[in-house]
Amino acid sequence: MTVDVQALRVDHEVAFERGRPRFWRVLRRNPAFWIGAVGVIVIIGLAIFAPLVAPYDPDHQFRREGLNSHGDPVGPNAMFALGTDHLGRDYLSRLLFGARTSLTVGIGANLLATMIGVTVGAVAAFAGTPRIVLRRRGGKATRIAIPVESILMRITDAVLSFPALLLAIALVAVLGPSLPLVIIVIASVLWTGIARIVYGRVVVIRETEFILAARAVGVHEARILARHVMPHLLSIIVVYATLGIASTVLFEATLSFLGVGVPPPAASWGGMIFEHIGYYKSDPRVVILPGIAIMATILSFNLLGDALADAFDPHSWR
Amino acid sequence: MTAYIVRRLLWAILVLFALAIITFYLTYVLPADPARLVAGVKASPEDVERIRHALGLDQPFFAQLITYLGRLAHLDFGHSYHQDRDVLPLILERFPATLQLALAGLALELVIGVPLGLMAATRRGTWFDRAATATTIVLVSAPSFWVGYLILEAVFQLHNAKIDVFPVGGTYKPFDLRYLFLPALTLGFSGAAYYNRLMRTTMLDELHRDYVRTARAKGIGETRVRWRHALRNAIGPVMTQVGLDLGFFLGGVVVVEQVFSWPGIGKLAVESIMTADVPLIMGTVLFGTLCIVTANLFVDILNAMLDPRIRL
Repeated sequence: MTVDVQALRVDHEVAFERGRPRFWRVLRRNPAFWIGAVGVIVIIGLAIFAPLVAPYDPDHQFRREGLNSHGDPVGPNAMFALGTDHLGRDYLSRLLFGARTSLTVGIGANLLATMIGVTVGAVAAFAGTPRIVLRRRGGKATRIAIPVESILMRITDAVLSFPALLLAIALVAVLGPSLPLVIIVIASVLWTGIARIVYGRVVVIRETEFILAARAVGVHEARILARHVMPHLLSIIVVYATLGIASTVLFEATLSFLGVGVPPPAASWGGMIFEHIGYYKSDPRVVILPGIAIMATILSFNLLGDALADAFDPHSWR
Repeated sequence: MTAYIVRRLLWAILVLFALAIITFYLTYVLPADPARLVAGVKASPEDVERIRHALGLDQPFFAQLITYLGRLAHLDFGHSYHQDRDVLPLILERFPATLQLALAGLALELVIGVPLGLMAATRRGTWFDRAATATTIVLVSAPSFWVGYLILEAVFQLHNAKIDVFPVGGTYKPFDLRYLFLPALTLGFSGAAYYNRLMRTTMLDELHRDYVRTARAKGIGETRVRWRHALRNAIGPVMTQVGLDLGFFLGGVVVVEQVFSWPGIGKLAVESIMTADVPLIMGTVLFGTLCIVTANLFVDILNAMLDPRIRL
């Protein structure tokens, strides 16, 4: 029996078109996707395997070999590939461990912000203004309308008009810097963006026939939200969560640069720039290297997020 | 229209009120004892108690909150622990520096970003569009504090090469363009990239709408369709963003002011953090909110005047 190769190929193409309509086709042709994806994987890999990759303990101070006779950091040499910092610590190791800090805050804060944002946006759009029926003993029912939609969206608007950076600085400065606090503070000012986007999408979805059909056959509201509405939000959540990591990493770097980020001795790229401003003129390396690390991370997540947005959106003009 | 403005105004006041309560709550839960901070380390327990009473810190939470809000209503932002002066004059005397930096930065953003975005939109898919989009995403990803230092380093190298276009160090003089240019450029570059993207997207959205097709079908020239029909609708979101950015910048351009030692409100905020000067920290946060809320209000009213649909 001979195999009809041509028919197999056609079958494969049909299956491919059906299974993953145009998403993959658009995505894999986009060079931005490949650059972004490889960048993201490399950075996450380096962060996870930092203890294996890093040549030294990032907190160990080489007071003899790592500092010159004036007590200043030394440049790249055979022992320290990228030189040392102002305390004689290996710069390469600190940069690698800095990836951990950046991504922990970036992913953690963003996860939290996405959860808050999606919940607020979806509930606000889906709940609308529910009427709660209160039954008195006499049997007469009173209805109370609770404007869930306007309350939640007004709160979102209010948080949106807070000066996010100033407020975050103030919060961290007052409560004392720590990793969990930095994550919570960033999440509590950045959830509004995704809340608005999800709200906008759900407002459209709630008017569609399949929601009406689900209601008609008596599906519970919470189940409609979870099983019928949520799947339609997956694409925008993925896109904005990816782009959100980029902005969160920048936010963390900015806080650390201003001296109110993740507290030392933890290595943080923004903090490394903050610590070395005084050395900048004599040794620009100490400021330039962490900056490149921040930029590469943000750029990778931005490229990946943009490429995903293009692939998800059939009407994309980009 | 009046009803709309009144509604927006009430909303703005409500937002300020909410933030005032949040900032007050923060000072209240603060682990450090303000009375002790004011009294100094050598003060006796009796002195600390006396100061605590004088500052009203021994009152219950709600009594303190009401006093605080009452003071705010009279534009009394409190008294700085560290500088021993009222907070509001401290902020206001920094305002001109922030104002000129904000205006110059915003102007640079628009002058660079908007024309590039329009050119990219009308040349979609060409090498120009691709190059502009690629440059934009790289610039958006660069942290502005880092770029500021790169620019400073470049100026320093120029100075070493005996080319003094921009001053190295020295004291800041108000409205001196040579001092203003570099901070404004640092502020403007990432914003320019953002406006480029925004302008491109909104313009492309408009160019694919039915009324544009109708205009073209009626035989109106492409130039007129683009610049008279499409652009007028596409510029709306950009104007909104300008208003928001201006409000945001006026509350202090924290990062750029810090990098260039620009004596504005943002630098004041960072200084107040370094000295744990809580009334000053809260004052700058409140002032920043005031700027943003006011800018939002103006943008909303302006938009409502231009587009009757919004008033509904």
